[in-house]
Amino acid sequence: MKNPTVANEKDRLKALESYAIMDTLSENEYDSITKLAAYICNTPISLVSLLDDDRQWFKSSVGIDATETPKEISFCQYAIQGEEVYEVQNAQLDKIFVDNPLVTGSPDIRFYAGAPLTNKEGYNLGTLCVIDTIPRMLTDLQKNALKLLANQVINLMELRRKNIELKNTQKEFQNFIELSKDLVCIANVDGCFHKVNPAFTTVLGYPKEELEGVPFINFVHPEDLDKTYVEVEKLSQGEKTISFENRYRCKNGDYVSLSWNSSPDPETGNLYCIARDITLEKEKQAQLIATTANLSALLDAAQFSIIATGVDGIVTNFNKGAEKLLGYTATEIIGNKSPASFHVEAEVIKYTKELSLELGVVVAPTFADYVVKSCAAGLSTAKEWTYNRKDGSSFPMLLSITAVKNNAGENIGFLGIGKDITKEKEAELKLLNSYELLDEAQVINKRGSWKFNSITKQLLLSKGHYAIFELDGVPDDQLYTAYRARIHPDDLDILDKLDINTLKSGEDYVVKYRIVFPDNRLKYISEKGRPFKDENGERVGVQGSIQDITEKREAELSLKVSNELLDNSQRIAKIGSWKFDLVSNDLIWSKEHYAIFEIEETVVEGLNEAFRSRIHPDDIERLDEQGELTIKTGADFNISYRIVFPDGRLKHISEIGHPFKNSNDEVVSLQGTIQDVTERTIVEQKVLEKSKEVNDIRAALDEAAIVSVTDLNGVFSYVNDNFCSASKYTKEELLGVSQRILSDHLDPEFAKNILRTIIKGDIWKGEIENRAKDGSVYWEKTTIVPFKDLKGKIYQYIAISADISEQKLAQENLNFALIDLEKNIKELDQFAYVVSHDLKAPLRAINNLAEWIIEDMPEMPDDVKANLELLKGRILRMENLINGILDYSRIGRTHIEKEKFDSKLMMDQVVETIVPTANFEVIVDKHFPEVYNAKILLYQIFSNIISNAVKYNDKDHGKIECYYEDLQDFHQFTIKDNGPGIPLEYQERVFGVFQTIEARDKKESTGIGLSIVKKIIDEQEGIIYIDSKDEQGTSFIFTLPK
Amino acid sequence: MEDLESKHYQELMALKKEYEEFVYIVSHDLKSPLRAIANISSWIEDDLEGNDNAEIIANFSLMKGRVARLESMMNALIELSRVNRLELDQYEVSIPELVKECAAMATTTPNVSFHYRIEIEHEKVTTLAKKLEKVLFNLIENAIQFHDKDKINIFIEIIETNLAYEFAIRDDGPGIPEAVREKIFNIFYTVSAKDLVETTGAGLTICKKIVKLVGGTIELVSGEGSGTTFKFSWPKEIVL
Repeated sequence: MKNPTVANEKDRLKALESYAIMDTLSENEYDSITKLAAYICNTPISLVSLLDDDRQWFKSSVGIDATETPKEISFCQYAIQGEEVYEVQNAQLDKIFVDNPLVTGSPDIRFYAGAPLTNKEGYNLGTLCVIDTIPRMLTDLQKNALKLLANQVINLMELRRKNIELKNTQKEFQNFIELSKDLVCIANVDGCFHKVNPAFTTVLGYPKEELEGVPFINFVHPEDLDKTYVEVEKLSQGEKTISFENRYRCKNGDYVSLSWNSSPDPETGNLYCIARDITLEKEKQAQLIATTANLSALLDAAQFSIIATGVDGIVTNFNKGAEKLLGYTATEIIGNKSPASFHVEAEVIKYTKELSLELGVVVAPTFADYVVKSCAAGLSTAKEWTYNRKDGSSFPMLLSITAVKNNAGENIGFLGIGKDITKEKEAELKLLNSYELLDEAQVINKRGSWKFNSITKQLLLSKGHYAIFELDGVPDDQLYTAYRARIHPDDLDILDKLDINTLKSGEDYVVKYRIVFPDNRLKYISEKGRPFKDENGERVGVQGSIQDITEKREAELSLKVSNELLDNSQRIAKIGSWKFDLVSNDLIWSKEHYAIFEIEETVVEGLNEAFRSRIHPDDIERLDEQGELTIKTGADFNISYRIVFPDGRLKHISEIGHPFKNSNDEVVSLQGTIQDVTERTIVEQKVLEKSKEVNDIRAALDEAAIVSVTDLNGVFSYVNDNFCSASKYTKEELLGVSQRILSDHLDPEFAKNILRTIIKGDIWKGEIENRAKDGSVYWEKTTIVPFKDLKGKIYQYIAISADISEQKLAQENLNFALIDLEKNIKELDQFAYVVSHDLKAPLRAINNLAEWIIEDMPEMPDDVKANLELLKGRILRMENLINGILDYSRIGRTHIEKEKFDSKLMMDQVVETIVPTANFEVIVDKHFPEVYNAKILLYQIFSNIISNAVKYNDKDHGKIECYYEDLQDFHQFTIKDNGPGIPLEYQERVFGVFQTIEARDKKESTGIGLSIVKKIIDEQEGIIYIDSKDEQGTSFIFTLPK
Repeated sequence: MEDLESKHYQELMALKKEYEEFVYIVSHDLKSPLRAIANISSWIEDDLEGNDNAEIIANFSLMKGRVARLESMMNALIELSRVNRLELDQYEVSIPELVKECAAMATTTPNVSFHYRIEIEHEKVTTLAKKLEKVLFNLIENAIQFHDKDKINIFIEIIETNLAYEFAIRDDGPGIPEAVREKIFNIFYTVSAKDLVETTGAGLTICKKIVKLVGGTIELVSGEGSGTTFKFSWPKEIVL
């Protein structure tokens, strides 16, 4: 048997291997295909057979149990040779298979049909085959189906391969990430770490568990949060990738700088992020920056010009200082020029020549040469050069040049450091000039200096000296003589002696003397002298300086005068001045200062202590603080304090001080004045007290009164609260408004009268009716006081008022009451008149009619006549009664005429009129006197008491007894009845109006009667009282003055 | 000032008291002598029984009339003095009913027509009913008594306000001359001679005193010839 070979069998096997399918477990997908194939082809066996190197392996099988067979006996090896379905209809008839053990033995194959499994690359990996134990033939349809199913198998396999590839890739990727030193993570849309790689733990120190599920922002350095948010925000704006740096907090609290690259997964929104720890880089970068900055700062130091060159002399570095000094920019110079261009060529040549001589070698006129050579010789290269600027100007430059060498010691260039020494040069020059200036200064300051050699008699004078002595132009040989001639004759001797003494003693001297000029002018000279020695140390002469002090002396003289003046004025003004030297602690006072402090002028030492001992203990601390403050701030001060004298007197001092500073701006002395302000302070205090008093009064006024202030035009400038509440206006409504707002309705004449009074400066007092905001009227009792200034000019008016509206109202009420009263009196008069008049009218008519009846009846029976007469009598009596009542009604207003009458007669009439004859017995004391009184009043008393006795009598037989007693100045009457009596508790009350003991409707009584009785007796200054024991009747006892 | 005020007040009170006293004295002190006069005149009448002198009889009857008048005047005075003191009970009455009762009492002839306009919300009120009745009766009685026409029309209006009942009693009688308006409330004043219409002339005085007592007002508002209208207000709340 010959086995077929496939041309590319090796590749085919490799392809098969790529599916990694061999010897895998059975899978449903494949099994369903084989079942389907068996079903479609109606065969008992169906297989997915894959051909390995030496075997065929069944991925899926239906109808047989074997999982593989050797390749050489396989049908499939033939089937995979072609592309179509390979069919063996009867293996026993096929010479290839007739001996095949699968045909000859189990499973007794007769029929075989296999569709090759051809993958994408064209390799036939195996077959999908159907097998039967009987010969058969597939229809075309069945073949096609088999082919389609084979395709399905390949699809399944392809899928498998892809999965495997994916898994591998994933695995690789995973490994890659796991091993990465970079931080790799996935953050979910919530901003939490979803997955992190081990590098996170390595770099940040957190275990995975502490990171995953935690918001990554938790770890970001607070200062980098904003930056991070901004970057993350960019992603949501649609950027595909972001790169940024931030700092993350490690578990140990340190921060590492991370450089991030992130991009989002467009579907899930997850962020894929990679970060690199760039902490070290950052640090290095920072270091570099710092170093660079230092170096730059050094190189850029403007005061030095630093120029580096290569060995060829071409400038390689040109710093800011050089730029500034030379006026070139670095770019102009670097790589283009050599420093030689700044030099004056002649100087270089000159110098190199000198150097050549010095070193004994030829030095070329180049820097390179001179530097190298002078360095080698150990000479300093520092030297002054003249440098030319770009603008052609030149300046002196002190330049040091160093050769720069590499590690091998080869010269690789030069570094020149130069300094502009213009200023130093100038200073040098100034020094030279200053000698000349001194002379000039001496002339100006009227000073001179001199030197005299007493041995040679040689006199040297400075220019200033000449000028003061006015010896200009005098030849040197005549100078000494001319000099001496100038000295005042009186002083010459002194000077000569002084010279001799000085030479002897070797001490300095100061002397003042005069010089005289031919025109007799005098000058005052102050001279200082000091001996000088020759080479041998012998004192051979004197030298010194003079000063023309003529003017100063004059000034001093006038100063003395003015000091006296100052003292005087200080004394008058009680001002003293002082000066305190902070360095020496010396305190100097003016005369008046002593006087104010009452300290002896002789006290100089310890003056400060004396001063301090005077200060009031309560003020000294404050004073010291002020002093310290002044020294610190250098500000002027102004302070008040008290001084106390041993006898307890106080003085108030006001002090002004000014600090003086030295050139170092330190306060070295204080100077100032003091003033005795005791009187002023006392006055001020009094003013203060006074003003407080005024304020108190004002406050009290505000409490109590309505107060307003107006200006000359009557415009309110002040109103108090009371004013507002009275006027019902607010302060805002009143201030700045004329007082007419309240008083416009007043009679103009009245207002004018007020104005006339106050503009004269007089006080106006009176009552004003003001109109409040709501239109209501209120009365004020007002005092308006014009306030005058010192010149007596009125500047404002103050009105102080009390609200008298109530008073006014009361007054008005009173007026009304008076009117009412008058009206009532009038009415009562009217009433009394009308009543009496109207009652009398019918009475007269009755009287007349009685007369007429008598006239008409000439033969009148006597009894009729008697009755008519009786009638007339009664009428008369009644008329009298009416008149009396009328009179009585005027009690208290008109005096009722008193008359003499018989009280017995009156009592009889009363009894006759009132008491019924039946059942009543009345006994009237025959001693009833003749009285002098108003008839009607006594009638009132009698009739009321008798009337009551009758009215209230409860006995079958009433009895009334009337007694009289003469009580010297008084008549005393007693009227006793046998009625029910009056209980004690009612005895006072019965005299009240409308008081009756029994109910009103029971007995006809108004209770007014007894009140009238009491009133009459009270008015007569008599007394009335009741004597009544229960059931024993009542006695009314009353007295009337005689 | 206050002293002065209270002094005035006291004086005023004293004056009022005096007034009361005066009325009392007049009415009481004169009562007894008047009684005596009345008694004597009746004795004389007895004595004169059978005398047929017409002049004497006329004169005597005149005298009796005068005595009666005097007595009625005295009674009026007593009534006046009692206004402030008696019948001070407040009880509930129906205003319309009270008015109609008074009208019925005062009507003595059939030629009187009453015309009412009563606009009140609260018909019943607790008040000094007797006093109100007195005022209404007097005014209606006056309107009828002094009427000069055959047909008498009386118009009664009552309006209720927040605080009071406003009454207006109007008639179409002769009216009251302008000149005497001031006097009609004076006691014993009558517009026409007392002999023409027998009246004491105290009714309006009493009315005024009552209205004053309850704190109301009363006034005459008519013009002569167009009848008389008395208006008075009667407060709902009466404080004595």
